[in-house]
Amino acid sequence: MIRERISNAWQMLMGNKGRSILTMLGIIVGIAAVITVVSVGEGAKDAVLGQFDQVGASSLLLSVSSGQATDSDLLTADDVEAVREQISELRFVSAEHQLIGRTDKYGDSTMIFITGIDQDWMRISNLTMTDGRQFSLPELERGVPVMILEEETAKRLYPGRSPLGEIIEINLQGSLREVEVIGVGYSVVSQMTSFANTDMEMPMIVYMPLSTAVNFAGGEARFSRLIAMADSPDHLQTAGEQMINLLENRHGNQGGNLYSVTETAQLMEQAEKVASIFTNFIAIVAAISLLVGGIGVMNIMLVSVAERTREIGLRKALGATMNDIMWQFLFESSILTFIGGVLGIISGMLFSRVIGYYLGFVPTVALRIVVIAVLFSTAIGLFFGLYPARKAAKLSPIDALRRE
Amino acid sequence: MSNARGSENTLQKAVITMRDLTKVYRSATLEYPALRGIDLTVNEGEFVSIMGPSGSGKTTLMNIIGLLDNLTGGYYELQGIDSSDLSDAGSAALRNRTIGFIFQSFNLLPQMNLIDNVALPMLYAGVPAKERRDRAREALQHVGLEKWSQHRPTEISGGQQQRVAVARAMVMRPSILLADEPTGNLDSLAAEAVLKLFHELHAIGVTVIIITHDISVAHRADRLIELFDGRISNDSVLTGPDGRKAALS
Repeated sequence: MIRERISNAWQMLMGNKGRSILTMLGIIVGIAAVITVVSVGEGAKDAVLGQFDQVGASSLLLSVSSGQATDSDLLTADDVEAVREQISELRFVSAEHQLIGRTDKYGDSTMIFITGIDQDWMRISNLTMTDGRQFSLPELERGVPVMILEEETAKRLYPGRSPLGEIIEINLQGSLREVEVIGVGYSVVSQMTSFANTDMEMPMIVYMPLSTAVNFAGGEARFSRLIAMADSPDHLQTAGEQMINLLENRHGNQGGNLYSVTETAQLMEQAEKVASIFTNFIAIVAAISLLVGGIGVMNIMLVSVAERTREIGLRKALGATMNDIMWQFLFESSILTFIGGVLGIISGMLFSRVIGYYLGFVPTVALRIVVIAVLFSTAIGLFFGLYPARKAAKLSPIDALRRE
Repeated sequence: MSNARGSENTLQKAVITMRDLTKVYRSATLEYPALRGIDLTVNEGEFVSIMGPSGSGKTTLMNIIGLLDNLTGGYYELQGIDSSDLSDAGSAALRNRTIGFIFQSFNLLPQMNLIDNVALPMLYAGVPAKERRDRAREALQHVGLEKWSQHRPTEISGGQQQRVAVARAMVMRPSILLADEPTGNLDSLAAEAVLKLFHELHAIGVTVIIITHDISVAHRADRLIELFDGRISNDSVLTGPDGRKAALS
């Protein structure tokens, strides 16, 4: 009997295809929005958290307060050496030095972001080579003018060929430096940067030995950031406190609160929290659009009840009970929202794929969300179909049948 | 001519019995008595016309006969069952088995083909799918429209649609055919074809009740009931031009 009722409802829906599709549209859009938002949100979260995983849960980031610190409070190479030697709980300690230059090698003046790195930086940031080699120890120590191109940069400027051995002339505040490319690689940092791809001018992203970058900058470098990795997550807090004490002693600025330490685990937690809040917020917006879709279904079903008084009256005259009429309308609205839900899921999955493709990560379509979406949209059909269905069932057949 | 139908003196089985039946329509500000005390008995196998001017209560009477409306006062029995005992489901089932409806505007569902339209009453009776199809085809055959079974109602003429409606009305083999202005939308040729079907059904024992404005249609019946102002103003046996219909009671 259920099968016959469904096929009867289906027949009535197919008899008015245009309206059936319009009714479904709200549900399709609503479900597609929910699936897209949640999948893209989850995918982005996975991508960001994946990068933190690479950094490792036992990393520390020490930064110098940018507002109050004077030049003398900034860190020197000696500071880095002192931290490395005196704090035994730290396995790796590294400073990075960033420079911005330009080159005319590729036509118009191209901007170059240079990150000066040392051996510890390569370990902490997990610099992985796809071509060529990493910096050798002598290169790191002597400040040899060599560099590693970030993978995306290499792909863009040397499509289909290797940039190894290329000499690039870099203009750093007026002075020209020639640097040889010895490798191509990627790290957490470069992946972070690729997120920001816009149609703005695309800078080159390159790595050089820290000593080379310091030389280029005029021989004396001062750093505002220091990255360290503890030998165990348990030592993170004490190591962080020791770093601050040591640096305050060396710079004579105790109590100035100029240095602060963040554990990457905390950053990860924060990022996760922010991502969740963001996803939840948009999911709520999407759910509201679904609700609006449901109200749309209700409206159309109500209009449909009004338009179909004659049919309802006739069915009653032919022996339909109030229950028969109610179930017919409930089946109709549930079929509409169920099909709308399925179509919404398909278009949501396609849409999140497209978005993921342009943002550079794979959206995560959770089965949980798909199941919830189908159940929810069918529930909407039942819930918002109930009022029109009851109205239809209670309709008196008398006037309807005689009305011409 | 009046009071031709006594109610007690019949040996035939009564299919419709009404005693002092009243119906009052109420709105917030208005009370309108549509029926003001109807006493009526219709026996099995009768062919009855109900006539009356607009507002005389014809439609209300038909709705009450068809269990589509509740009565305000009095008593109504259909096939020996007191209508006040019936629930919604009970009256739907009784209506489904007992009464075949014919409407002025045919009321076929445009979303369905003709055979599905004819089969519709059997859906509510819970008849299995195969039997539904067979019986619907048989009924269509009976009204001469079998070859149109897969077509939609909009593809055939009004007269053909009304014949499909007759097939639908009879597919549950009801004892009463209740027709509301069945020829109102038809030309005389199509009307004649429909009335011929009514006579055929009457001949096999179906009780036929026609509500009509058309005096020539009304006079095709054996008995004419006239309504005025919510009361039966006249109830008479009709004699056809051939004298065939006089032999009642």
